[in-house]
Amino acid sequence: MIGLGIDVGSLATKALILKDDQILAWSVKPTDISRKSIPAAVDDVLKRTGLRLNEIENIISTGIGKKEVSYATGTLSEVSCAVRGTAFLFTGVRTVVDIGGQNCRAIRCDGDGGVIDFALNDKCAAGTGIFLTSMAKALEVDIGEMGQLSRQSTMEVNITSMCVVFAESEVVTLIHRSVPKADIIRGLHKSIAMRVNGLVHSIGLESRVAVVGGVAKNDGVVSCLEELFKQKVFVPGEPQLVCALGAAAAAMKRGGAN
Amino acid sequence: MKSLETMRRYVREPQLLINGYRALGKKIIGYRCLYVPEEIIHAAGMVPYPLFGGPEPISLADSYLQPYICEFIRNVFDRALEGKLKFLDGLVLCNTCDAVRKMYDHWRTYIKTHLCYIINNPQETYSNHAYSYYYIELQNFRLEMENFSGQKITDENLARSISLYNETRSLLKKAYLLRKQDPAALSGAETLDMVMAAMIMPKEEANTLIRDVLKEAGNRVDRRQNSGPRILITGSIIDQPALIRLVEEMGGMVAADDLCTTSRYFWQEVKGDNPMDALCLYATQRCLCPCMHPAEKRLAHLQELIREFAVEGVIYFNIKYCDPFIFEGVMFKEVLEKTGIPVMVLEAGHDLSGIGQLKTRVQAFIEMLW
Amino acid sequence: MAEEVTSRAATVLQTTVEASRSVRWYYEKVTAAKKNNKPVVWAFGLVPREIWHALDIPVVTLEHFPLLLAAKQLSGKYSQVAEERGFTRDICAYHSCFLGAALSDQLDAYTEKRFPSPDIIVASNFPCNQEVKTPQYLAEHYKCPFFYLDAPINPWGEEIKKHAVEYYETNLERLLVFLEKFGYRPDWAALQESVRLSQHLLRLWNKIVDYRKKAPTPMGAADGYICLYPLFQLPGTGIAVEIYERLLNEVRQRAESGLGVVDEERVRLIWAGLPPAYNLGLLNYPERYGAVVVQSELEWIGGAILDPEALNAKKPLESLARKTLLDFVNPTYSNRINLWKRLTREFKIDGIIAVNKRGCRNLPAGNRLIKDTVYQESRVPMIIFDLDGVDNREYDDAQVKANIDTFVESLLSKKGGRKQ
Repeated sequence: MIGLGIDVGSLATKALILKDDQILAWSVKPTDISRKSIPAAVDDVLKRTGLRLNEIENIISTGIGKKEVSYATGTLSEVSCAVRGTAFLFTGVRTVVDIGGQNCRAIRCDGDGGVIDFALNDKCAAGTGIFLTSMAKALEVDIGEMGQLSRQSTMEVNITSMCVVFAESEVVTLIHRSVPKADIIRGLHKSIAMRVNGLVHSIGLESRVAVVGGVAKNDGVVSCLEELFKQKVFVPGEPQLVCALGAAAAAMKRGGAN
Repeated sequence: MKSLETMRRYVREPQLLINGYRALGKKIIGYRCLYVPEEIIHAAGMVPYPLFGGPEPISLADSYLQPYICEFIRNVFDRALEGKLKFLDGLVLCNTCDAVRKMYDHWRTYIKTHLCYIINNPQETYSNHAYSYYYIELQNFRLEMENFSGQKITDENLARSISLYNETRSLLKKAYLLRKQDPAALSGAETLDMVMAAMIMPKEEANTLIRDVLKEAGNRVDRRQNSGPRILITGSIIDQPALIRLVEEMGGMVAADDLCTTSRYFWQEVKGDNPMDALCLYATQRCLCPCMHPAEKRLAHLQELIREFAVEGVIYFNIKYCDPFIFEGVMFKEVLEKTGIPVMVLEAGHDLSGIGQLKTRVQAFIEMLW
Repeated sequence: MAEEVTSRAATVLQTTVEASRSVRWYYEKVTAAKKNNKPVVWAFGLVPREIWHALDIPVVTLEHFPLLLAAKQLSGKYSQVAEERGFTRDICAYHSCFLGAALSDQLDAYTEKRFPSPDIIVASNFPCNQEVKTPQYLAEHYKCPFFYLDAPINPWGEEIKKHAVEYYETNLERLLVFLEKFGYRPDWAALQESVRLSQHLLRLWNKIVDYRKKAPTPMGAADGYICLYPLFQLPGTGIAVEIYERLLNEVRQRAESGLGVVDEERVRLIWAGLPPAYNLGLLNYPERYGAVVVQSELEWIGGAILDPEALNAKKPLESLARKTLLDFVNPTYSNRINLWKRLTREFKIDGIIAVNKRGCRNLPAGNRLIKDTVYQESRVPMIIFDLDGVDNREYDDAQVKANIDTFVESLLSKKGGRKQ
């Protein structure tokens, strides 16, 4: 069985093809307003596998733009996909934390792809990728470097504002006070982690936690989360692909709402 | 100033006081806010302890109280969830703002101290009906405190507590009035530290220290000649001196403030022969904050402060999502500006972390008043 | 699939149309009264409606008027006006919308027709602080006589203390004295009759609710939202009773013949918090999955949780005091928690959709408490997300629907309907 999963996220569109439980190929394209990222990612992933669209039995879309994929045979929510994708990679995970561009979700699950309870962040951008992006801009660093930079931190800095606007001004104040960037970044990671921690506790933290979604690529945030959770967490090699993987896994098994 | 230094240390390290209370075997009752009659708790042999926020960012509380509610209360509740308020034996709240009232059920459900009580005070002041209703609430509260402490509250004890607290009030007011002079012997930031310390300290010790402050202030040699514009700060709770200090650093003279950590705490005294009548009168003839009615009483009080302290401009401070002050700020700004007093409304988080952003506005406001 | 972002509620009942007409009827009545120089009241906070109707006082309430504007997609526009006058966007959209309409130099024709200027302003602090702030500002603006009705909170729930009821009762008496200055004589017979009608209305309401507990439910939240008007705004009137008598008949017939809202009711939901008045069709949205929003919490506002037999027409003010102070929107949550325990038990629901209204400091802060209580009692899950029921500017259709999709999907899979 072949399944294609397409995750149309707020910042990136991801496509992934699974065949008999093997990942054949994947592709990530930045999401744009005209939704050209969907054909771009799908064409790319097809080219890599040499498959044609009509050769794929099931296509499941997920993500905020899931309804934009006209040829999908089904749709699934990001929550289900995050859980299924995680179950594909790790066994027995009971808590999945999915931190994406604009969303953060904490999910309690049965370890076997089933959702028990979940909580979503509010409209506020704190605790999401966009928060980090705007802080990276204020600090004039590359978002990809933030995790590494934070490891050089030697001093505890508290960023108490969760509001992006206030936090940015706080960061600027710290820069003027010549606080090393590494310490500021570590402070920012901690503040995101604290926000996420609050969300996770609203559904109850269980053992075996996975952190997925684009922000999980930042090992600085992950290490702060581990500190707060008081346990090591599972992070996939390509955490931003987990939802697409979950969708593909469901497609392989013919799932999703038509 | 040595006395002030001691007080400031208590504000920074309240654990010193808490250890002292514990050593005496006293029960500590946290409370919010100024409509809780401290004297009744004190007369039952317990310590009334006002709750303030801490410097740490909020984490757990956001999933209990939605982030669109007063950051100060979320901060206090977060500290409780994090186990930082374990020294409390109980919590007493009163009927003031929505955020304070929200804490009642959350505290009962998630923090579970042995006592969680809310005094259902009227929100209308200067009304006879409110007086007779509140009297019953006060009696119920007295009984509750007796039961919880296991100690009878006699009228004599209550009268003694009232006179002790009145002494603190009158001493604080004396120190506060020092700012009528120019140069002032105490700055606004120093006054805030002094009042906050007095609020959490044993009152006997606080009274001794404030007397020392008054003495030392008279001989102060490091007085700053401050001919900058005289500013009144009012608004939501301020429990750290950053904003007042900012205004003073920018050349403003914080001549007066109307905050629940400063003048609202001590402006009036509890008066009357019968202690319960006196406390009842005190609570129902005092329109402290915009949760209370009628608003005209508060406006009149602010205008009195403006006159007495020769105030030239008003800074209206709102903690984000603090509705009572958001509305009052808009309303009073219009009224005060008609009388020639410029008003600047500032909004920030509880921890004043956005203060860098406020700097330019504060500076511009002060320059405008020069 | 092309979908309109906002849509009207898809209703199934005939009587819903009548309830909807009663809204129009009442606003026309108020406008006509203004033309005849009858003093018009603007009322803020949950002042017992029975008093207005007993004394035949034309009233515009904060709790309804903004919903009317929101339904016409006008709320955001007027909130904007308030923001331009210095109110931050963080305040409750009920208030910013009302303020904006009141302060606006130019009203659109729809609003103009339904919004006579005030001659008297009455405000109560029940259920929140903001309820008194807007009217204070407007009383100053219109140079209008202002009455403040102080309500105690109710941390005691059903065991409310006598002195608190008496205090509120006294304040209601003072309100009557105040109103007399404008020619509105306290008419005790009329007050008693109004309480009697209100009691009758509550009895009918409870019977209707009983039928709605059945599966499939004969009446969902979309009809419920519109049919709420007589219960919330017209209690104590004969017209409300007439509408509810017909509503009861219709619901009974549907229930007896097994007619539901959808063909196959697979999931039963209840809505907590305010549904979006500008997009009531959202209440129908889960129906595509066979999921029915059976009721919204809002339908219990105005003291509908009170046992009708606790009202006593011989003691009108005491009865109205109890009805008000037991309302679930009280600033402390005892009543609301009890309501939810009852709803989850009696309606056999599978899930709760709870929305946080950004400017509200009252209900959203209790959502977590409800979630935990309900989950502990009956393992029914609740999803909480941001949605402002009044301000149409902040509505994010894709996100909101994605949240509902996710929730219903997880409920269905739990029911074994879809797990692969």
